[in-house]
Amino acid sequence: MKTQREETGTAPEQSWWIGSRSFSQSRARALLPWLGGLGLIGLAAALLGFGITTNTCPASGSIWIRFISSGLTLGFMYAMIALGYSMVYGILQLLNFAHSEVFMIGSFAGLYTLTGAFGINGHAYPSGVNGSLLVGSIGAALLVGAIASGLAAVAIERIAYRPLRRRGVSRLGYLITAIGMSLFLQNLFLLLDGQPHLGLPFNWPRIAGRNAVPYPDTLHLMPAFRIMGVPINNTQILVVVVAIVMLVVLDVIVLRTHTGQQIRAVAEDPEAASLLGVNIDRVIVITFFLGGVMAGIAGGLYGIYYGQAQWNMGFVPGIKAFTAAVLGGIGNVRGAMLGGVLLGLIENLGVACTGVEWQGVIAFAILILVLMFRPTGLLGEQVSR
Amino acid sequence: MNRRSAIRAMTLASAIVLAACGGTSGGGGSTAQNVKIAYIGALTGDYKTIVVPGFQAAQLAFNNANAGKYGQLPVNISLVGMDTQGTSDQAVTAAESVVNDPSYVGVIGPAFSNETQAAGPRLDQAGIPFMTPSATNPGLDQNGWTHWFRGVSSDAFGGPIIASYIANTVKPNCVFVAGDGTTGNTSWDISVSQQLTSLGVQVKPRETFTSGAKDFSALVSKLAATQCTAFFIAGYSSDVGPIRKQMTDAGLGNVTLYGTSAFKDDQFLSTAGNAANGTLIVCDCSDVNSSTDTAAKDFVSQYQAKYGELPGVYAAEAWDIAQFYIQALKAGKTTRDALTSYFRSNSHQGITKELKFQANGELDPSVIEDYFFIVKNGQWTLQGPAKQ
Repeated sequence: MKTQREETGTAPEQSWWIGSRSFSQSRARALLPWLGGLGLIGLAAALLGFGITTNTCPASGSIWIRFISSGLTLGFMYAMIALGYSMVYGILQLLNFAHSEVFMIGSFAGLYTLTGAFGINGHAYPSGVNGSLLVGSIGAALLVGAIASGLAAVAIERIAYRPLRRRGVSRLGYLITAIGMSLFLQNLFLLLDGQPHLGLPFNWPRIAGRNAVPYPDTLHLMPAFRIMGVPINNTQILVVVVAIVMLVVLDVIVLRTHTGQQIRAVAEDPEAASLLGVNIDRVIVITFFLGGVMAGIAGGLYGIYYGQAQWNMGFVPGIKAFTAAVLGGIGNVRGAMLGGVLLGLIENLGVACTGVEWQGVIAFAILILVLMFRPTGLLGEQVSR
Repeated sequence: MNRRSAIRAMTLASAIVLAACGGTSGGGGSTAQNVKIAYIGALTGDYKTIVVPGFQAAQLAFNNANAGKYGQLPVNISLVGMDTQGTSDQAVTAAESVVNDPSYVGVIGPAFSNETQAAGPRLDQAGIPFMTPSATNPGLDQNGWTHWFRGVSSDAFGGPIIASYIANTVKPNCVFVAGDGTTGNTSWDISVSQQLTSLGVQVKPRETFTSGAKDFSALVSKLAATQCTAFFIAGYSSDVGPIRKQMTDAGLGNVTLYGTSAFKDDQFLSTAGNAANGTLIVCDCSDVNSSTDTAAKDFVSQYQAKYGELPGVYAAEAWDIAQFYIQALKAGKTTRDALTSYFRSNSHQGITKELKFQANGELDPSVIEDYFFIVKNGQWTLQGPAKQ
């Protein structure tokens, strides 16, 4: 199949894609998704108006603020995880299911940086930490989490995926290996519980285990400000600000740097990129590392926000982030960002007029609806080869 | 596939299999005149905190019996822990291994209602007495099982009790009701909703949340939208703890949480933190830890000496069930059928209550006592007996 680039002949530097394509299609075609989006928003507004007049939906603005603030916080975390799925898919057409465990590893690395390196716990700091220690400890936790996750992602690529790639294994082989790595890592962390296993004469390290490991109270929760009486907490601000900064940084790396250009070139056409002297293996490692870094920071933020880390914590956000990547257009960096934030919002706003049990139904119904009209996601996906 | 890659593939496969099989399951030794009793429940996993104390208490009781502390027994008792992680399919697997091994004469458990519903038919068909210390779904007595016994009161007792407490004592503007939709908890939110409505309290439509999620922000926002000052929740501590924390984080610290024994454990206290204070639950679990009864005090001191902690939730109930088994075995009832007949026609005065069963396996209503517990200063504290 021809890529969009081949069809249009535009340079990858101008595009939003990991790898493809052009943004210089006819104006009418470019407007189509926006018109579709406006149509959907119009439909949602009409349904909402009907819901409010029939008392099915809350009429109070403060209630909507609640749904929006929690939806945005969740959405930015989805967006950060979604990037890893999207970038790896962009260059390898691989659904890296183990990415959710990369996220989990980052969360634990952040946790032990706070408790181990900084000695933060409920006894030493009963009401959190302040000042430079607060900035330093959270910064270090996110940094260590990012590096740990980045390295874990690279290790997964080297151990599990590269041997398959060298042998030209089918997509199905990749997929099963990715699922296997995900389950392997989950169960490994389950077994790192400080108990002896497999009849070995020593206790395994106590890192995770069955139960959730509580995050230390570092950024003591308090409302930063209120909107219509609804508290917007300092932890929410932290999540959103860090996420936006990281998303912008990644966007710049992918679109404005030489490395980013190489990543896009490999995604566009690995053979051609290779002929032009691009080291494919190096680019793949960098892509896995960048995706891992984003997931690691998301893991640290998730731990600080929800107050715990657990062996299976990546499963649900991982599936949601993957959904977000598809919603935005898989393989597309800005699509993953937009998809994440939208999914978080949809999940929260969608239940305002229904019940919590409808959360998944509404989110996935909207995903299906979007894919019906935009099969490649909101911002379009990379054309597969 | 060449040889090197075959070895690699086998190594990876073995590692995955070993990791998947890494759960623990307790076991007892075996001697010539052994009878085995299985303890079926979540001995590991998110829900272990409401099962492990009971397993440990039963283990203690049988150790005592084997050591001759309760007089001469005709058999040696082995308690075998069978881990289900709270899942129905693993409960069925456990039940099948019990059924297929004739040396098993009885079961304590399954601990949860979903497990009991799934494993019950196999156990009952095999004629093995199975007595649960903690499965409280009222529907379980509708299965027509003849070897099943419930050593604790069903939700049909507890639901109306906490509903009438909320309606008559708390008198909130309305009650927000939510549950995780599992077999073990659904009957609670249904029965409490119905009872509250019949008592004239406005109930906001029941919500069902997804167990195992970490983000409950949508549920919390729904709660905020109702502006109710009371929230009845039917769920386990791995969910209810984070929910309580996220409620307070979202500025809903003034909403009081009501619930059931399903989250009366330390995990709820640790995950909810300070937000846990004020949470009130109804439980058919007497507070043996502060009891002045000699037998209860003896149990608590033995448990603490062996395990280095106070007995947790349902430990005393499991202890009573184990003692009933010991009483029956001592009377020479060492087969599955003989034990069932003995349990049907006899009673046992335990430290929590008298174990005396009706024909359908439920406790005789005259022996049931429920209690309210409240979290004070980060600890579960007995508030008093609960009456409807």
